[in-house]
Amino acid sequence: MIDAGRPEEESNGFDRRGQLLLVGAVVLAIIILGLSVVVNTVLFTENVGTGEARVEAPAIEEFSFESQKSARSLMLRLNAADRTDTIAEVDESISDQISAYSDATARSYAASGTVFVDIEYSETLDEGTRIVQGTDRKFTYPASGSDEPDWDPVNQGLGSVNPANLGWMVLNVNLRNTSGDQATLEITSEGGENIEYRFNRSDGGNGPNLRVNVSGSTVSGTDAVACGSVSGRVLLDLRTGQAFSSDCTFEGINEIDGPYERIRITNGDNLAGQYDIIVNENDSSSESIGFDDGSGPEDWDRDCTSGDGGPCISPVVWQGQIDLAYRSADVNFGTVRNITVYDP
Amino acid sequence: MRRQPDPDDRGQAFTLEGIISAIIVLTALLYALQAVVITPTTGGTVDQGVRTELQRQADDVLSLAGGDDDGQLSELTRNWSQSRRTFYGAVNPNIGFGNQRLPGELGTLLNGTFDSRDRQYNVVMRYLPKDESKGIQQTAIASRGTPSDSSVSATYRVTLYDNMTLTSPTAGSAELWQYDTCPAVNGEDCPDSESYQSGYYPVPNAVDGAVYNVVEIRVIVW
Repeated sequence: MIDAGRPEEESNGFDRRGQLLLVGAVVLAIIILGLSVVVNTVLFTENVGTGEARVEAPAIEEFSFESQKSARSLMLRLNAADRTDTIAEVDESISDQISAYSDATARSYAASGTVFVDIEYSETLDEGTRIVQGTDRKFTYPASGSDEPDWDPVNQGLGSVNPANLGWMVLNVNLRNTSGDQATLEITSEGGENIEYRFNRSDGGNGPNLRVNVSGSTVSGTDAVACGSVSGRVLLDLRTGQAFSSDCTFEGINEIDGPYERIRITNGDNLAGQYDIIVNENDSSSESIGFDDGSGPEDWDRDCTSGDGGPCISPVVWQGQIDLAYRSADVNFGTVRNITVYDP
Repeated sequence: MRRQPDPDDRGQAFTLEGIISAIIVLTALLYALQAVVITPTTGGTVDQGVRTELQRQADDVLSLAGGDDDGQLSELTRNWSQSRRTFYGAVNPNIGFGNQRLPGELGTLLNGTFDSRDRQYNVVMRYLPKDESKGIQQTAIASRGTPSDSSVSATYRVTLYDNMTLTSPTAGSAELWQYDTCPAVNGEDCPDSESYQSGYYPVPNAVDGAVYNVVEIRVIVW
């Protein structure tokens, strides 16, 4: 008898194996597809994430840079605003005005998008001293009896006193009361280098220019330069060696490295006007700013709160600290920055 | 005796095949949908790449012009001609410098970056109003047309101070706070305007204290 069932049984066996092979192939395909989706998803998410952060990076950099620049500019202005202010009053003034600037900046950012910014003055890190003559008079020291023409506005020669870094030195010369004879201003560094400026009015005391002659240990012989006046005044920045109101330039104090031990005026009665000298030392218990009226180095004792027109000292902020905050939908950035007002 | 095929086994296999087929179709669909989002030809991705490049260039131009200490952007905002009531050297108050090259480093950078590549751009300065209840105000520095939908913008802010002066050659020594911010001649149409003597400058003194205003320079490129 023919077994008709054998081929059918073999056929069913092949069918089952075929189905198993099919199922195996399909499972393998699913795994490959699934992995593709996962890999694809990871790459997609990563790209979007870095892109958003990168887009705001220039904006944050600009905010940080401009905020620091503006804070420094404000501190520079407020240090020179009122020479009768105490350091506490200077601090308060800086804090208030940086707060007003912060509000204005926040309004500007808010008008352009959903970004919040904030700038706060947190504290004063280092105080300096401003030696100032705020009204026109000779460059003399008002000693008892008569004015002293030969004296040192800065003399750090006392035993416990550190040499001073110079942050600012501007003369506002009143040419009408300046003599044709020379007045001398000499700066000596801690390292023993010196630079000397000799000033006199041109044409024997009747000319329209201020003549500036520079010499010193690092300066080779140079001719005197003539700095033109505007309304009878000449404004000189001695640190950089240039006039604000004319094209004259000369060797600045920066030619010799600080810190500085001494600034000496000789024949100060030949030169008239106003001046501002800012150094990083102060008259606190830990530091000292000295001068010499001809009787030897001692601590400065003329405080500007008295309000008279002679040379006096006033506190300034040499270095302060600000807090910056920048917040948007994607970025939350906060930082603390130290602002050095004067670049010694 | 020959074993007959079990109908339950075949049914389970068919069910399994059906489920797996459905998973394949759904997975393929999901993959296809996701592929659409990231395909370069969809969603403006190609155009986005160009816009990103333009954005970066505009940011760099402003950072270079404003990022140094010589105040080039601040000088640009104060380069004002009172007699012409627009920027010194500009065409007219409506378009500012228009297609002319802007003065200073910003003009050089914009010319080298965008003009040379046939890109168009507008430059405006936006500043705070004196009255906080009013919106931000703006003045055209250079207007070259209406930006397209794919335009990008970059901004840089500079601070003006009360004791600054205008920088145009025709300006006097008056400080910013001494200028009238009302555009009418002699203040005729500005009853609330204070009577200053030094002419017209559009940016008002909007901040108490030494700060005068915070001005945003905006470059729109397309």
